Amino acid sequence: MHIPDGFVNASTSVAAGVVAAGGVAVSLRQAGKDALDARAPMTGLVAAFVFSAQMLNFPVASGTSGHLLGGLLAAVLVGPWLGALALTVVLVVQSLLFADGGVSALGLNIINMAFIPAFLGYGLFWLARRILPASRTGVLASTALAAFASVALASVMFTIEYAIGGNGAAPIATVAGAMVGVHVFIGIGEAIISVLTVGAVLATRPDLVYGARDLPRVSGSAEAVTA
Amino acid sequence: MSRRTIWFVVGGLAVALVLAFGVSHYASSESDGLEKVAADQALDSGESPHALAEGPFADYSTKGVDDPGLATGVAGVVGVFATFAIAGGLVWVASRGSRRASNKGATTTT
Repeated sequence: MHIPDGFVNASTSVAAGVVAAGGVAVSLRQAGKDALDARAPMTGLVAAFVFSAQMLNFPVASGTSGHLLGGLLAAVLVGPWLGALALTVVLVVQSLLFADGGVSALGLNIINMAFIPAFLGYGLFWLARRILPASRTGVLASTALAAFASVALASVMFTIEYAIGGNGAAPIATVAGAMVGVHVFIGIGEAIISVLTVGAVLATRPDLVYGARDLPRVSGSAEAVTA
Repeated sequence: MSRRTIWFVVGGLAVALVLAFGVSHYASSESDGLEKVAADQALDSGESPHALAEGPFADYSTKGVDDPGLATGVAGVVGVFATFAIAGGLVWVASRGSRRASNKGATTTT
Protein backbone atom coordinates (compact mmCIF):
# COMPACT_ATOMS: atom_id res chain seq x y z
CA MET A 1 0.00 0.00 0.00
CA HIS A 2 2.78 2.39 -0.94
CA ILE A 3 1.33 5.72 -2.10
CA PRO A 4 2.98 6.96 -5.32
CA ASP A 5 3.72 10.60 -6.15
CA GLY A 6 0.70 12.67 -7.08
CA PHE A 7 -2.08 10.70 -5.34
CA VAL A 8 -2.28 13.25 -2.55
CA ASN A 9 -1.69 16.97 -3.03
CA ALA A 10 1.54 18.72 -2.11
CA SER A 11 0.38 20.57 1.00
CA THR A 12 -1.04 17.42 2.58
CA SER A 13 2.11 15.47 1.66
CA VAL A 14 4.34 18.14 3.19
CA ALA A 15 2.25 18.22 6.37
CA ALA A 16 2.54 14.43 6.59
CA GLY A 17 6.29 14.76 6.08
CA VAL A 18 6.51 17.13 9.04
CA VAL A 19 4.49 14.73 11.23
CA ALA A 20 6.68 11.82 10.09
CA ALA A 21 9.90 13.72 10.82
CA GLY A 22 8.62 14.59 14.29
CA GLY A 23 7.66 10.98 15.00
CA VAL A 24 11.05 9.73 13.84
CA ALA A 25 12.81 12.31 16.03
CA VAL A 26 10.82 11.19 19.10
CA SER A 27 11.49 7.52 18.25
CA LEU A 28 15.23 8.22 17.95
CA ARG A 29 15.22 9.88 21.37
CA GLN A 30 13.48 6.80 22.80
CA ALA A 31 15.72 4.36 20.94
CA GLY A 32 18.07 3.69 23.84
CA LYS A 33 15.52 3.78 26.67
CA ASP A 34 14.04 0.27 26.72
CA ALA A 35 16.25 -2.43 28.17
CA LEU A 36 16.82 -4.66 25.18
CA ASP A 37 19.60 -7.06 24.29
CA ALA A 38 21.40 -6.24 21.04
CA ARG A 39 18.98 -3.46 20.07
CA ALA A 40 20.92 -2.23 17.04
CA PRO A 41 21.45 -5.59 15.28
CA MET A 42 17.94 -6.71 16.25
CA THR A 43 16.38 -3.55 14.77
CA GLY A 44 18.49 -4.07 11.65
CA LEU A 45 17.34 -7.67 11.43
CA VAL A 46 13.69 -6.70 11.86
CA ALA A 47 14.03 -4.09 9.09
CA ALA A 48 15.74 -6.58 6.77
CA PHE A 49 13.16 -9.28 7.46
CA VAL A 50 10.21 -6.92 6.91
CA PHE A 51 11.82 -5.67 3.70
CA SER A 52 12.20 -9.20 2.35
CA ALA A 53 8.70 -10.24 3.46
CA GLN A 54 7.19 -7.14 1.82
CA MET A 55 8.57 -8.36 -1.52
CA LEU A 56 6.35 -11.43 -1.27
CA ASN A 57 2.97 -10.31 -2.53
CA PHE A 58 0.35 -12.96 -1.87
CA PRO A 59 -2.85 -13.21 -3.92
CA VAL A 60 -6.12 -12.08 -2.39
CA ALA A 61 -9.54 -11.76 -4.00
CA SER A 62 -10.06 -10.96 -7.71
CA GLY A 63 -6.78 -9.99 -9.39
CA THR A 64 -5.44 -8.28 -6.30
CA SER A 65 -2.45 -9.02 -4.12
CA GLY A 66 -1.31 -7.93 -0.71
CA HIS A 67 1.92 -7.97 1.21
CA LEU A 68 2.98 -7.83 4.81
CA LEU A 69 3.12 -4.33 6.29
CA GLY A 70 5.14 -5.65 9.20
CA GLY A 71 4.89 -2.64 11.51
CA LEU A 72 3.01 -4.50 14.22
CA LEU A 73 5.34 -7.49 13.88
CA ALA A 74 8.33 -5.17 14.26
CA ALA A 75 6.84 -3.50 17.35
CA VAL A 76 6.13 -6.87 19.03
CA LEU A 77 9.73 -7.96 18.39
CA VAL A 78 11.70 -4.80 19.29
CA GLY A 79 9.12 -2.44 20.81
CA PRO A 80 7.11 0.37 19.22
CA TRP A 81 9.91 2.99 19.02
CA LEU A 82 12.49 0.75 17.37
CA GLY A 83 9.75 -0.93 15.34
CA ALA A 84 8.65 2.43 13.93
CA LEU A 85 12.30 3.26 13.11
CA ALA A 86 12.82 -0.11 11.40
CA LEU A 87 9.74 0.43 9.22
CA THR A 88 10.75 4.01 8.44
CA VAL A 89 14.12 2.77 7.17
CA VAL A 90 12.38 0.11 5.06
CA LEU A 91 10.08 2.72 3.51
CA VAL A 92 12.89 5.19 2.81
CA VAL A 93 15.05 2.49 1.19
CA GLN A 94 12.08 1.24 -0.86
CA SER A 95 11.32 4.73 -2.12
CA LEU A 96 14.89 5.90 -2.84
CA LEU A 97 16.48 2.66 -4.04
CA PHE A 98 13.56 0.73 -5.53
CA ALA A 99 11.21 3.55 -6.65
CA ASP A 100 8.45 1.94 -4.56
CA GLY A 101 6.35 4.64 -2.91
CA GLY A 102 6.65 8.25 -4.03
CA VAL A 103 9.46 10.40 -2.61
CA SER A 104 6.92 13.17 -2.04
CA ALA A 105 4.59 10.64 -0.36
CA LEU A 106 7.21 9.36 2.12
CA GLY A 107 5.60 11.15 5.05
CA LEU A 108 2.19 9.70 4.21
CA ASN A 109 3.62 6.22 3.81
CA ILE A 110 5.59 6.46 7.08
CA ILE A 111 2.42 7.47 8.92
CA ASN A 112 0.36 4.66 7.35
CA MET A 113 2.85 1.80 7.42
CA ALA A 114 5.26 2.68 10.25
CA PHE A 115 3.41 4.76 12.84
CA ILE A 116 -0.14 3.36 12.60
CA PRO A 117 0.97 -0.29 12.98
CA ALA A 118 3.87 0.30 15.40
CA PHE A 119 2.06 2.75 17.72
CA LEU A 120 -1.69 2.25 17.32
CA GLY A 121 -1.32 -1.43 16.43
CA TYR A 122 1.02 -2.02 19.36
CA GLY A 123 -1.45 -0.24 21.64
CA LEU A 124 -4.08 -2.77 20.59
CA PHE A 125 -1.56 -5.59 21.13
CA TRP A 126 -0.89 -4.24 24.64
CA LEU A 127 -4.64 -4.09 25.40
CA ALA A 128 -5.22 -7.62 24.09
CA ARG A 129 -2.33 -8.89 26.21
CA ARG A 130 -3.98 -7.39 29.30
CA ILE A 131 -7.23 -9.23 28.53
CA LEU A 132 -5.87 -12.56 27.27
CA PRO A 133 -3.91 -15.06 29.42
CA ALA A 134 -0.24 -14.27 30.12
CA SER A 135 1.10 -17.12 28.01
CA ARG A 136 2.72 -17.71 24.63
CA THR A 137 -0.74 -18.44 23.25
CA GLY A 138 -1.92 -15.11 24.62
CA VAL A 139 1.01 -13.33 22.95
CA LEU A 140 0.30 -15.01 19.62
CA ALA A 141 -3.45 -14.33 19.77
CA SER A 142 -2.75 -10.68 20.61
CA THR A 143 -0.30 -10.53 17.69
CA ALA A 144 -2.93 -11.92 15.33
CA LEU A 145 -5.62 -9.48 16.45
CA ALA A 146 -3.37 -6.42 16.38
CA ALA A 147 -1.72 -7.37 13.07
CA PHE A 148 -5.13 -7.75 11.43
CA ALA A 149 -6.35 -4.46 12.91
CA SER A 150 -3.14 -2.61 11.94
CA VAL A 151 -3.76 -3.26 8.23
CA ALA A 152 -7.40 -2.18 8.45
CA LEU A 153 -6.36 0.96 10.36
CA ALA A 154 -3.65 1.74 7.79
CA SER A 155 -6.26 1.54 5.02
CA VAL A 156 -8.52 3.87 7.04
CA MET A 157 -5.59 6.28 7.48
CA PHE A 158 -5.03 6.30 3.73
CA THR A 159 -8.71 7.14 3.26
CA ILE A 160 -8.39 10.04 5.72
CA GLU A 161 -5.38 11.35 3.78
CA TYR A 162 -7.33 10.98 0.55
CA ALA A 163 -10.23 12.87 2.11
CA ILE A 164 -7.91 15.71 3.15
CA GLY A 165 -5.89 16.09 -0.02
CA GLY A 166 -6.61 13.36 -2.56
CA ASN A 167 -6.26 14.34 -6.20
CA GLY A 168 -8.87 11.80 -7.34
CA ALA A 169 -12.57 12.58 -7.77
CA ALA A 170 -14.09 9.41 -6.27
CA PRO A 171 -16.41 9.92 -3.26
CA ILE A 172 -14.73 9.37 0.10
CA ALA A 173 -17.26 6.75 1.21
CA THR A 174 -16.60 4.71 -1.94
CA VAL A 175 -12.84 4.85 -1.41
CA ALA A 176 -13.24 3.96 2.27
CA GLY A 177 -15.40 0.95 1.44
CA ALA A 178 -13.08 -0.30 -1.29
CA MET A 179 -9.90 0.20 0.77
CA VAL A 180 -11.19 -1.45 3.93
CA GLY A 181 -12.93 -4.17 1.92
CA VAL A 182 -9.67 -5.28 0.25
CA HIS A 183 -7.47 -4.78 3.30
CA VAL A 184 -9.61 -6.96 5.52
CA PHE A 185 -8.35 -9.88 3.40
CA ILE A 186 -4.78 -8.60 3.35
CA GLY A 187 -5.04 -8.25 7.14
CA ILE A 188 -5.67 -11.98 7.43
CA GLY A 189 -2.37 -12.59 5.61
CA GLU A 190 -0.70 -10.04 7.88
CA ALA A 191 -1.97 -11.89 10.96
CA ILE A 192 -0.78 -15.29 9.68
CA ILE A 193 2.74 -14.09 8.76
CA SER A 194 3.10 -12.10 11.99
CA VAL A 195 2.01 -15.05 14.16
CA LEU A 196 4.34 -17.48 12.33
CA THR A 197 7.28 -15.09 12.77
CA VAL A 198 6.65 -14.21 16.43
CA GLY A 199 6.00 -17.92 17.10
CA ALA A 200 9.33 -18.87 15.54
CA VAL A 201 11.23 -16.32 17.64
CA LEU A 202 9.35 -17.37 20.80
CA ALA A 203 10.36 -20.96 20.10
CA THR A 204 14.06 -20.14 19.68
CA ARG A 205 14.80 -16.95 21.64
CA PRO A 206 11.74 -15.90 23.70
CA ASP A 207 13.93 -13.35 25.51
CA LEU A 208 14.25 -11.41 22.23
CA VAL A 209 10.48 -10.79 21.92
CA TYR A 210 9.81 -7.34 23.39
CA GLY A 211 6.06 -7.96 23.60
CA ALA A 212 6.58 -11.12 25.67
CA ARG A 213 9.15 -9.82 28.17
CA ASP A 214 6.76 -10.39 31.07
CA LEU A 215 6.36 -14.12 30.42
CA PRO A 216 8.19 -16.40 32.86
CA ARG A 217 11.29 -18.01 31.39
CA VAL A 218 11.47 -21.79 31.28
CA SER A 219 15.10 -22.14 32.34
CA GLY A 220 17.30 -24.20 30.04
CA SER A 221 14.72 -24.68 27.31
CA ALA A 222 15.95 -21.74 25.26
CA GLU A 223 19.47 -23.16 24.90
CA ALA A 224 18.12 -26.61 24.04
CA VAL A 225 16.20 -25.47 20.99
CA THR A 226 18.60 -22.86 19.63
CA ALA A 227 19.48 -23.87 16.11
CA MET B 1 25.88 -9.12 22.78
CA SER B 2 26.13 -12.82 23.48
CA ARG B 3 27.35 -15.34 20.94
CA ARG B 4 23.87 -16.90 20.85
CA THR B 5 22.39 -13.54 19.87
CA ILE B 6 24.98 -13.08 17.12
CA TRP B 7 23.98 -16.46 15.70
CA PHE B 8 20.30 -15.56 15.97
CA VAL B 9 20.86 -12.36 13.96
CA VAL B 10 22.96 -14.24 11.37
CA GLY B 11 20.27 -16.92 11.07
CA GLY B 12 17.53 -14.32 10.75
CA LEU B 13 19.45 -12.50 8.03
CA ALA B 14 19.88 -15.80 6.20
CA VAL B 15 16.09 -16.29 6.25
CA ALA B 16 15.58 -12.74 4.92
CA LEU B 17 18.13 -13.36 2.16
CA VAL B 18 16.42 -16.61 1.12
CA LEU B 19 13.05 -14.82 0.96
CA ALA B 20 14.46 -11.82 -0.93
CA PHE B 21 16.69 -13.76 -3.32
CA GLY B 22 14.98 -17.09 -3.81
CA VAL B 23 11.28 -16.61 -3.14
CA SER B 24 10.61 -13.04 -4.30
CA HIS B 25 10.45 -14.03 -7.97
CA TYR B 26 7.44 -16.24 -7.22
CA ALA B 27 5.48 -13.46 -5.52
CA SER B 28 2.14 -12.41 -7.01
CA SER B 29 2.57 -9.66 -9.58
CA GLU B 30 -1.06 -8.54 -9.34
CA SER B 31 -1.74 -4.97 -8.17
CA ASP B 32 -1.69 -4.63 -4.40
CA GLY B 33 -4.78 -3.49 -2.52
CA LEU B 34 -4.07 0.22 -2.81
CA GLU B 35 -3.08 0.02 -6.50
CA LYS B 36 -6.25 -1.94 -7.27
CA VAL B 37 -8.51 0.55 -5.51
CA ALA B 38 -6.61 3.44 -7.12
CA ALA B 39 -7.13 1.98 -10.58
CA ASP B 40 -10.80 1.12 -9.97
CA GLN B 41 -11.66 4.52 -8.47
CA ALA B 42 -9.32 6.63 -10.64
CA LEU B 43 -7.42 7.87 -7.60
CA ASP B 44 -4.31 7.87 -9.78
CA SER B 45 -5.47 10.70 -12.06
CA GLY B 46 -2.75 12.95 -10.66
CA GLU B 47 -0.04 10.30 -10.45
CA SER B 48 3.36 11.37 -11.68
CA PRO B 49 6.25 9.05 -12.57
CA HIS B 50 8.57 8.19 -9.68
CA ALA B 51 11.44 10.65 -9.47
CA LEU B 52 13.95 7.80 -9.21
CA ALA B 53 12.29 5.44 -11.70
CA GLU B 54 15.56 5.19 -13.66
CA GLY B 55 17.62 4.04 -10.68
CA PRO B 56 19.72 0.85 -10.90
CA PHE B 57 17.26 -1.15 -8.76
CA ALA B 58 13.98 0.60 -9.65
CA ASP B 59 10.92 -1.66 -9.35
CA TYR B 60 13.04 -4.34 -7.65
CA SER B 61 14.74 -5.14 -10.93
CA THR B 62 18.52 -4.86 -11.26
CA LYS B 63 19.59 -2.97 -14.38
CA GLY B 64 21.88 -4.98 -16.65
CA VAL B 65 20.71 -8.38 -15.38
CA ASP B 66 18.75 -10.09 -18.15
CA ASP B 67 17.18 -12.96 -16.20
CA PRO B 68 14.09 -11.46 -14.50
CA GLY B 69 14.27 -13.82 -11.53
CA LEU B 70 17.94 -13.00 -10.92
CA ALA B 71 17.31 -9.26 -11.44
CA THR B 72 14.67 -9.36 -8.69
CA GLY B 73 16.79 -11.58 -6.46
CA VAL B 74 19.85 -9.33 -6.66
CA ALA B 75 17.70 -6.27 -5.89
CA GLY B 76 16.27 -8.15 -2.90
CA VAL B 77 19.73 -8.97 -1.53
CA VAL B 78 20.80 -5.33 -1.92
CA GLY B 79 17.65 -4.25 -0.05
CA VAL B 80 18.18 -6.73 2.79
CA PHE B 81 21.75 -5.53 3.43
CA ALA B 82 20.80 -1.85 2.98
CA THR B 83 17.89 -2.00 5.46
CA PHE B 84 19.91 -4.05 7.98
CA ALA B 85 22.89 -1.68 7.86
CA ILE B 86 20.90 1.56 7.91
CA ALA B 87 18.38 0.55 10.59
CA GLY B 88 21.06 -1.08 12.75
CA GLY B 89 23.46 1.84 12.31
CA LEU B 90 20.78 4.42 13.05
CA VAL B 91 19.75 2.73 16.29
CA TRP B 92 23.37 2.15 17.29
CA VAL B 93 24.14 5.86 16.90
CA ALA B 94 20.85 6.99 18.48
CA SER B 95 21.18 4.77 21.56
CA ARG B 96 24.84 5.56 22.31
CA GLY B 97 23.98 8.67 24.31
CA SER B 98 21.43 7.08 26.61
CA ARG B 99 23.58 3.97 27.02
CA ARG B 100 26.42 6.13 28.25
CA ALA B 101 24.04 7.98 30.55
CA SER B 102 22.53 4.96 32.27
CA ASN B 103 25.08 2.27 31.37
CA LYS B 104 22.62 -0.48 32.07
CA GLY B 105 20.23 -2.58 30.08
CA ALA B 106 22.06 -2.12 26.82
CA THR B 107 24.89 -4.52 27.64
CA THR B 108 23.10 -7.45 29.27
CA THR B 109 25.01 -10.59 28.41
CA THR B 110 24.03 -14.09 29.32
